[in-house]
Amino acid sequence: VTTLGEIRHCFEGAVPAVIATAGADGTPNITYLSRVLLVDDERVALSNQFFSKTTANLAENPQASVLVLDPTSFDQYRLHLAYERTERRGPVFERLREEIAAIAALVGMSSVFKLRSADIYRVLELDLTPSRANRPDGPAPTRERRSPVPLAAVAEVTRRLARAADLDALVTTAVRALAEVCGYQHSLLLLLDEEGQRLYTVASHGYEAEGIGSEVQVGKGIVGLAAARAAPVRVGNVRQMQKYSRTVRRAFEDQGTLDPADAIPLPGLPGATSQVAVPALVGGQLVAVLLVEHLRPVAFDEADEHVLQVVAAIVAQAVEAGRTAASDEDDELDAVPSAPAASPAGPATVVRFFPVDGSTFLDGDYLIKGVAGRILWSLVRQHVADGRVDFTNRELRLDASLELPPHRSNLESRLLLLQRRLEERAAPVQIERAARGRFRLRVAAPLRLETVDGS
Amino acid sequence: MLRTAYVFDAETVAFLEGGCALIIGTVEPGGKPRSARGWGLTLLDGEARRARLLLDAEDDITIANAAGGGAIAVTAADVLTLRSIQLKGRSVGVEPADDDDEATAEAYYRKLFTDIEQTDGTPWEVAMRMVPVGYVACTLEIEDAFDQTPGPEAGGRIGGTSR
Repeated sequence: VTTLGEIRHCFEGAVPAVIATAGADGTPNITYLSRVLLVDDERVALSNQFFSKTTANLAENPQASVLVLDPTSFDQYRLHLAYERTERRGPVFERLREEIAAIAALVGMSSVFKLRSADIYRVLELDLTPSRANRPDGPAPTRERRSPVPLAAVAEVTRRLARAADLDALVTTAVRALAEVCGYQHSLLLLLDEEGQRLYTVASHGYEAEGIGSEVQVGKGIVGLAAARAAPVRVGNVRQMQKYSRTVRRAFEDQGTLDPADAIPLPGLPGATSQVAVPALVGGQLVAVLLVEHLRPVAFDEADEHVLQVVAAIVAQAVEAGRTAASDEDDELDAVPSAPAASPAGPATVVRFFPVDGSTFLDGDYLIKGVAGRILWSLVRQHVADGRVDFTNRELRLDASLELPPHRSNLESRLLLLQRRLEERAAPVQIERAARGRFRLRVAAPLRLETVDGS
Repeated sequence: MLRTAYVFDAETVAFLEGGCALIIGTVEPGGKPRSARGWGLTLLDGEARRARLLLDAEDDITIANAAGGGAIAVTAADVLTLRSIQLKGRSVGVEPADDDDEATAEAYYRKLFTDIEQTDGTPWEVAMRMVPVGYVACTLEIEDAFDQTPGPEAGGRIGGTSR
């Protein structure tokens, strides 16, 4: 080994590093490090929030011995370090701060994990251990890296997105093209809600359950962090980070510092080890977040971030343009009364609605909440009252019971969310798009409506 | 000087001997710290004042640091939970590993690598690439023990009574 650059995969954090220090009296200390960051060909930066003895030793004796592991080959390297300086701002500090924030966001501990400083060390020695000559088995396993996504593939995704006629086609095309053209087999697309507080899933690819309607709070988890910072977040060691942060979290819970209910379950691929979450912005405003996942550690790199940023930007532009166009066209459409549909036979489906938050249940099973829940409630009420099945977006936009914010309605995406959620559940009520700005309710069972007052 | 001796309860003994990941810190004569991995730990008597710690036979520097009363720190960490205990003390000698040590080392890395495969997905055969070609046994006299589990309480003194 000649350079740190050759072993850069050791610094992705997939396997915890080890640090030994010694006090002035010659007493050693040995512990794990949450993060070792490669700074340049001669330096690394260290971070740890619970570093008391190590910090004290370094103040007395500014040198350290660190073990790092390549996550694919398990080649192990020993670095002898000499302390150079401490940074509390600048690009290295910011990179480490992002990493720590990602760990914290995984388990809702952003208030606890705060990077105070990044300590910069010069690497004086770098050795493979045990040496290759004495290794008991053969050569290292080959690293199965994903091939870089070519520019032509990005162009193809762009062409497909440009052909999408509406929001439904756009979000479906986005996750499908990422898989078919770019090889990202597991992805989620989440749109920001009207209040800018939560993101909700409108499309997914590569999962057993589509997870349509699943929500993430801005600031929580990898997706929420990418939204809060309006910047990509990439982790190659999700399981390791979860394990570490859960252990720390337990310690704080035992102290009574944190409420156990704060834990945030990750959406998506069970056992995912690598994730990239990329914000989709228009005019500097967040519209959505795109997440891709992989089971293998350190499966993504900066090039993947770049590809996904391009795709996310196109999706964001298209979503926003679609909203504007839909709103303009809606203004020209009046409600069209339809002839009452024939009443379906069979056992009734109970639609239970909670006005307090729009939560809606079908036969006791949760379906959806918020604006989408209120839309469904409004539609089924009108259907039960007079058998109506044809509706326009415009009348929904003017429906005060939906509590749409005046400045940013997101009606199209909420309607799409509801449509997809009903499809996913194979519900006896379905929404079918008719002409632009119009849709039809398909009702396959008698409906019995119940309102539950939360007061 | 009579040092404080540590007595661990049965659960802690089982934890320390049960295939936790072992990492070792020693110090060269000029004060240069050295990190290494351990390959098995056995508490030698009922009161656990002494432990037998297996080192990589190829790591001449760690072995030299441990010889002749060198200070040693050993952290045992459960791969599944990250619960960690750090032992600190001094070496009272090193010697070639015997057959029992070889068996201890094999049981150690089998348990450890199984846990790693379960939690991190690293195939067993890949982790095996870390295994040394041989071992040296170091007898450690334990002077102190600390809770090293990541979190706000890390570094707190634990376990044991003085005598």
